[in-house]
Amino acid sequence: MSSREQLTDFSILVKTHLNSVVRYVRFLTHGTEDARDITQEVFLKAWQQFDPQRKSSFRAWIMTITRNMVIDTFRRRGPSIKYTGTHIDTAASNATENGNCVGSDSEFCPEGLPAFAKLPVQQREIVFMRYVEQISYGEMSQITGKSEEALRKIVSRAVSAIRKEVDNETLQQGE
Amino acid sequence: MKPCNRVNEWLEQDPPPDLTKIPGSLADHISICQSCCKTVGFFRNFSQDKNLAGLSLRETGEFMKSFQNKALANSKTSDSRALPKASIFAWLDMKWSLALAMVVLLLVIGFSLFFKQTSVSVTEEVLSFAVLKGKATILSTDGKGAIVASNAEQVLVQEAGIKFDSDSEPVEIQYKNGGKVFLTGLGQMKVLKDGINVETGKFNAKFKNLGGVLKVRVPCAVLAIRGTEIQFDIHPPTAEILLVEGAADLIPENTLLKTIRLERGKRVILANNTWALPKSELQNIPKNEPPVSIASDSQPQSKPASVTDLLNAPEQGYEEDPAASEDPASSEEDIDTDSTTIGGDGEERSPIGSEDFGDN
Repeated sequence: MSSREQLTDFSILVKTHLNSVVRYVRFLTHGTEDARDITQEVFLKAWQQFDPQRKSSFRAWIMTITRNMVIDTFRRRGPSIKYTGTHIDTAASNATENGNCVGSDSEFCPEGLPAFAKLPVQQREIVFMRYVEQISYGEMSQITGKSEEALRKIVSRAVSAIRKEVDNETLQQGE
Repeated sequence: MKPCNRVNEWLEQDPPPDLTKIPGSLADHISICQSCCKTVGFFRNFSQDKNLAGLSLRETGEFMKSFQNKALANSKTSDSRALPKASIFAWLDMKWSLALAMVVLLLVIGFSLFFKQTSVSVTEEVLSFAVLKGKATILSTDGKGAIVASNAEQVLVQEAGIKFDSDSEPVEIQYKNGGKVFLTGLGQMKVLKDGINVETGKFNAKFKNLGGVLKVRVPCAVLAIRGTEIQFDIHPPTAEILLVEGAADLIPENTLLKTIRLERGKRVILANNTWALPKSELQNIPKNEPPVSIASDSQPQSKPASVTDLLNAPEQGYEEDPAASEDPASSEEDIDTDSTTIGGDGEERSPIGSEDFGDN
C-alpha cells in the first residue's frame, strides 16, 4: 500500500474521530484557542506512528495521544493552559486552597449545569468521556490507565453527586 | 426521605446508555419521578452542550486539507513513512542480509588471500628442492616450449628441464641442502631432486658443497659426484666427459660393465653406447690400483687434448674387468652397497645411492 493510499485510509479515521478529539482537547484545555492546533498535532503524531492494525482500537489510541499531548503542552506552557484533566491532585489542592470549586473559572461549563462544575476534576473527565463521547469502561481504562472497577466507582459517585446537586437545585427553585 | 436512584443503574451501565432513547419501563418512572427526570435531563443536556460542539463542516474541511498537506509533507521527508511497516522490516532485514553477505564475502576474500599466500610460501618452502639462478630457460614438462625465461631466481618445486647458454655468467643450481652446481656453456638438462640428467650440450659443470652424492645422469651411465668439476660434451650418440678437478665414479647403466673411476684430468668417451677411457689413458692406469682419495677442491690440472680429438680416435676403451665378468654384482649395485671412497678429502663416504642427495 502506497503512502497516499495509507493517508486516504487514515483520513477517514481522522474525519470519524476529529470532533471527539477536538471536544476532548477543548474540555481538557478549558476551550482555549489551541484546541485545533493541538488536534492537528495529535493526528500528525498518530499518522507518524500509524499502524493499520490499530484501526479497531483507534479511538482509545487517539484519545490517549490527545491526553498525553495536552499534558505535554500543559507542562511546556505552564499556567497559560488551564488543564483540568490531569494533575488532578495539584489542581484540586490549588482550588481548595483558593476556596474555589475546581474549574469554577472555566470557560467550559455547560450552561445551566453548575452541578458539573462542582465535581472533582477526575470525575468530570470520566463523566465527559462517558456521557459526551460514549466511551466504554474498557476504552476509558486504556486512555486513563485506571482499572475498570475504579472507573465504575468514579462514575457511580459522579452520578450520585450530580443527582444530589440537581435535587438541591430543584429544591431551591421550589422554595 | 430516601432519594430515588432508579435511573442510576441505567446511567452507569456499560456501554454507556443512549440518553435519547430511554427504555419504556424507565420512561414511565421518569415521567412521574421529578428527581430522576431532572438527572436524566442533566446528562442529556450535558452531552448536547454547545461548548462541546465539534467543528463545523467548513472547519472540518479546512482542518482535513491542512492535515493532509502536513501529513503528505511529513511522508515525503520521512522515507520510512513511505514504506509500510512490513516493508520497513523487510528493508531492514535486507540491509542486515547485505551487511552479513558483505562481511562473509570479506572474510572469504581475506581467508583466500591468507591461505593463498600461505600455501604459496609453504609450497615453495616445503616442496622446493632447488633454486635456479642465472640466464636459463625452464622448459615445460613436455619439452616443447619454455614457460619461464628469466635471469631472476626461480624456485624449482618439481623436476624441470632447463636450457642454458652462458659463457660468462654461470647458471647456478642451488640445492636445498646447500649443494651448488655452476654451469657454463651451452646445454640442456633436467634438474632432478637427487641430481641432474644431462641431455645434450657442451658445458662445464662445477659442483660445490655437496652434502652427499649428486647423481649426474649421462647417456648410458650415471656419475656419482661429491664435489668436482667436469666438462661435458654430450651429443648423443657420442659423448665425452673430462674430469677437470676432484673425483667421480662413472657407473654404466649396463650392470655387467665396471664402474670407471674418474680422477683429475681423466676423460671418458661414449662410443657404441659404452663408456670407455681413451687408449692413451688406459695405458697410464695401473691395474688393481687401490682407490685414491682426491680432494674435491684440488687445483685443476692442465686440460688434456680436445674432446673431438679424442673422439676421433677412441679405442675400445672399456676394459672389461675379469672380476666384473665373474661377478656381475660388482657393477653399479656393487658400488652402491660397498663403501667405496670416491671423495678426495680423505673422509669416509657412505655408499652411493644410500645417501639420496635430494632428500638431504
